[in-house]
Amino acid sequence: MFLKTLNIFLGIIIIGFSAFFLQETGILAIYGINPNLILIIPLLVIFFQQNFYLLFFSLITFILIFFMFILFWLPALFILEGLIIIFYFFKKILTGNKLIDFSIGIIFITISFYFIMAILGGYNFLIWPAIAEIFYNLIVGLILWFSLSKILNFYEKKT
Amino acid sequence: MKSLRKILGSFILLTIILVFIFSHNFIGSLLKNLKGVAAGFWGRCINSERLQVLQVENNRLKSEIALLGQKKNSVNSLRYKEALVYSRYPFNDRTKLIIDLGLNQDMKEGMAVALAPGVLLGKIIKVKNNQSEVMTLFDPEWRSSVNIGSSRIKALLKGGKEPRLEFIPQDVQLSGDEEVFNVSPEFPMNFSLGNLSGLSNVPYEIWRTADLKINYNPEIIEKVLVVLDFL
Repeated sequence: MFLKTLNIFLGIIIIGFSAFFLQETGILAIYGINPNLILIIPLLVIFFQQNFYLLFFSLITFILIFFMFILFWLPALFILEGLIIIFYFFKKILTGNKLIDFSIGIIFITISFYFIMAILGGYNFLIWPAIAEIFYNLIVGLILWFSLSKILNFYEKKT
Repeated sequence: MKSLRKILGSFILLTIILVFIFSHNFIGSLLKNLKGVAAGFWGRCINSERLQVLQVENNRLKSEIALLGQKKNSVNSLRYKEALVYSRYPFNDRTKLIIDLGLNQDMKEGMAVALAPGVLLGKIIKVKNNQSEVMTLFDPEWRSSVNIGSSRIKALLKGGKEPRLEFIPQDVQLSGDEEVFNVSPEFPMNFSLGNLSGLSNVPYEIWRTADLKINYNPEIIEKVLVVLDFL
């Protein structure tokens, strides 16, 4: 049991590091728009594990990664993670369909994040990059969602 | 046996994490190269760092030729310090970089940052002991005055993922591929920014707009130059 839990935690750390590097290097950027994997991964944890401690651990992982590599933008990460935690409690009053709620989460958090960042930074809220990112986040999020569902089904059948 | 396998699995996972931590720069550059190869498969040109260096060099030489005609070559008299790019802002609302020079290396807010001698990229906006944050001209908040071509037509450069030139007078003659130079007093005079492209042509409007064509990919910048003796 301990080793299984350890593996889940280590898995989250590896996925966290991979997500951070994919996002930071801009490897997935299309016309300069990056998908927000730092948002998508914790949202997947919310809907697949439904365990607040695992969600909290994945958020802490991202804080540590930011602390190690890009200390300058830690406040932006805190805002994003705050919104994810708010959504964790807020999702109980949504439709109850996991996939629809996941999509609502992506839309709600992306818009709120850029809106808050614009207010705090004192610059204009640019709607088009946010909308482009929402579409990209939804595509990447749904691909990961269905891939993860298949992988989990495969392991459940095996055990 | 089963627990041995689990221990082995945990050990492998831990090793992967340590590899990530200690070789993130290598992994980053490897991923970028893979992206270039993938782009080549899909018919786009491979945007390798070498190609980028050549394009920037070409831009710089063009700007020097243009400036020689005007006898205003101040670009090469400046001193520069090379800095490595640590990281890029990971979200889409801003375009900023972190470089590996800070207070300990005499960096100050407002210092100009160039991609190559004479090619303006951005400015330092925050400084810590050994790191600085750089706002680039791809940031939506970037605004600076520029001159277009050898006839030195004034315009405003508005930053963004695709930087735009605004307030270009309607009555001036432009061929459409002129070099764009800095004239904002914050930065060294006549630093090159790129080329004019996609000039609008609406007869009843007072001002024209255009795109700023950049000859490099900002996503793969690994090194920059900080201008030391301008401020």
